[in-house]
Amino acid sequence: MPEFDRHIFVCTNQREAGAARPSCSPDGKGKLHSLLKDKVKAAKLPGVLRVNKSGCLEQCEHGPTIVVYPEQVWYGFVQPEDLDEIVEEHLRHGRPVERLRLAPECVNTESCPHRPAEIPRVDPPPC
Amino acid sequence: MNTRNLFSRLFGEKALPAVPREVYVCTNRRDAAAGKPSCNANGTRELLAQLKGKVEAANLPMVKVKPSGCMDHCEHGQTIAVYPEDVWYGFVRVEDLDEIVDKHLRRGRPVERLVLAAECRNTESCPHRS
Repeated sequence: MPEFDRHIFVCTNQREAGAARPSCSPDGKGKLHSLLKDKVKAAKLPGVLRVNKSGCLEQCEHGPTIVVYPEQVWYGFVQPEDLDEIVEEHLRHGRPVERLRLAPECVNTESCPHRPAEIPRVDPPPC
Repeated sequence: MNTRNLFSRLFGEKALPAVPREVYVCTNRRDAAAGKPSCNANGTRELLAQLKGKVEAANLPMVKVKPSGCMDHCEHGQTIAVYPEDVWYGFVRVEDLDEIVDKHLRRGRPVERLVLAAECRNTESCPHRS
């Protein structure tokens, strides 16, 4: 199977200190991404998986954020200590980690209760 | 089975359903001296900005355009991946975006002339790999 069996995006967006919305990777190091990448590699999971960096996934109030395709499962508030469970339960056994899932009304909606009322329209700087 | 195969089995020639979609545009930029090309060689992220603007203008609230890091399709850049249907586009130019927005994102019909061939997707045999 040459195509990605699972494609995982880890938000590594960094905003300037004092920005209106929080950052998934405030120090800009993308540590969650590199940790997950290492853990997936070490787990020797079957199939082809890619752990991808992403820019802002627009889930800033839920960060750090991870999304897993093809099942389109969104995780929020992910900490390094949650990654083993995601790797074993979700990526190995196909059972999403329910306690970390974002509620459907929080994903890509204006009605998410975690969002500030006014979100300034400032695109991140070119990389 | 990946989702692209699943979608084609379910929908065949029919249009894909209107589901929440995320569209990833590769914005990776390498040093000029790198051995591989970059999807965002000049660092302006123009393709991303243009697609975002066009999706917004088309009033497609279920479609979200996101920037991605390297998706490992450097030889096919500029690359765009559409989920959940797992449709990948390669060699995308700004002038292709209207067609992607109108045909695929609005009407559910992927733009076949831009879809990456199966033999190009993460295989050693891809003719574009050096």
